[in-house]
Amino acid sequence: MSHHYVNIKDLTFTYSDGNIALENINMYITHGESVAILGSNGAGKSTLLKHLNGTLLSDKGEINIGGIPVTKKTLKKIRETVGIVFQNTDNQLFMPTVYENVAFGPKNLGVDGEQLKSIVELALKDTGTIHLLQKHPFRLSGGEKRKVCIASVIACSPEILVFDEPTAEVDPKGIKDIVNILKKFHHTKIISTHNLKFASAVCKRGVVLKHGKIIFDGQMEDIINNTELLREAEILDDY
Amino acid sequence: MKSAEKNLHYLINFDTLSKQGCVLGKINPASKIFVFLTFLIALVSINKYDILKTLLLSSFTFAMINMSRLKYSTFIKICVVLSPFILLFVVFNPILDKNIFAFYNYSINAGYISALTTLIKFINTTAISLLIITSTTVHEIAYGLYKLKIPGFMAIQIILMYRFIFLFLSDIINTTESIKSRGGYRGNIKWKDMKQIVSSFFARAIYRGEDVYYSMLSRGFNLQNLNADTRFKLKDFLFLFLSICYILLLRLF
Ligand SMILES: Nc1ncnc2c1ncn2[C@@H]1O[C@H](COP(=O)(O)OP(=O)(O)OP(=O)(O)O)[C@@H](O)[C@H]1O
Ligand SMILES: [Mg+2]
Repeated sequence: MSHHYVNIKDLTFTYSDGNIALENINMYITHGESVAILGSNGAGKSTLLKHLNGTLLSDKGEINIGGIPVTKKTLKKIRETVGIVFQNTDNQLFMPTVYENVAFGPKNLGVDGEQLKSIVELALKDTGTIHLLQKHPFRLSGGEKRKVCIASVIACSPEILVFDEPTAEVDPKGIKDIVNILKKFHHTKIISTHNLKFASAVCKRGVVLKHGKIIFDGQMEDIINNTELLREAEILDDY
Repeated sequence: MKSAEKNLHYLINFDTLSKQGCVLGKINPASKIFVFLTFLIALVSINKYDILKTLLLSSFTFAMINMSRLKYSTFIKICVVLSPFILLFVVFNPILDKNIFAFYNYSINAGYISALTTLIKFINTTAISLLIITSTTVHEIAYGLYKLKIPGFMAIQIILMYRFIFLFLSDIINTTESIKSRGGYRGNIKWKDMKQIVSSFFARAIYRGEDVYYSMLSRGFNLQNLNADTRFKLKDFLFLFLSICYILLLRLF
């Protein structure tokens, strides 16, 4: 079971407008580990996560998921292994109803009939959104949208779960729900956030990004107690 | 502005209409798409003064609506929502088209005739688009396009349009709401601002389309491994054969 590791080697990424969003990223994540990616707005968190399932491909550096390098040729397999909840919810809710949205992924993987129905319902129950089943996603509140996106990805039963800002727009009760959902998911988890309390509730390890570089990689406890580091990374909430 | 917004909301709700349980919903998507495309080509290519043929061909649309779950009331409502564009044409056409047309012993301004055929063509096209949306799922459309050997990149464009149009509509609603909340409709919105709003709007639509596509891919979407119930059955052949015969018969004679 140790094959769901993630290995990032010397990853550098420049956007087409010349913006260097990631510089020399090195990281090894073992199977079953939960890692928080911390950093202020624009630090490069989303850019890093988008590399994990090949939404962005860089020609500088390598990423390896459980022995498979992330390249154009392996995208199909990689995308079945890595489930990613993107930061922007609206663009992930493209089907007419909540139900169909959650069913979209499993359907692509060949599930249908009763099995499909039970998978979708389970994912909606786990995220506390089963009552929204027939609603149009456009009509949901911000937090509800977030939860439905999470359900949509969980329903694909990925082996590695990647979350970009899962707590944005979610109320305290909702964040607690998400912590519980994530604790139930026993595979590898990679979560970007600037919510330190949430990060330490779910992850033991934390990686701090600043201007596209890793400035710290270690235990969440050490990060939280290191005021100096938090100030440098501009994620200290001392307002 | 209120009623335009209501109309947009109406269109979005329309998207959630159930897609199963009608005769048309059970036809193989490839055969359906092929027939509908043939029909549209046959319809659009009719001479703009040939009102009889246009009306005759409309009987096909009528038959299809009866085979689907599309309600006439819904259909009429959507036509009304979309009508402002076509009405402009209908109003101005007789001014632009000044030919005189002899009809038995009367002479009629040809502009009226061609405006009428255009109106009928528009109603038919709307109906057929609605029929595709209400009787076919995304996966089926994707599969149908793939089977018809439409090149992959074009098929993806069409699928994106098909899913994206509704997101686009909700985006329009959000934008109008935010313009209003910044006082835009108190009579002081400038033409220059408007141009910028519209162009940034389209730029955003393109980026959004890309994001939507990536999130589809992330959840295993792939043109080549669709798992629709894919076999061509007798009923699909019959539907294809009869429809094409009917369309050609009306169109060519
Ligand atoms: N498509 C793009 N083209 C050009 N530059 C981009 C693009 N997307 C992001 N950037 C830039 O790359 C940098 C990193 O962006 P990224 O979205 O990864 O930050 P982030 O850490 O996720 O921030 P946030 O907390 O606000 O989500 C930023 O400076 C941003 O302006
Ligand atoms: Mg981000």
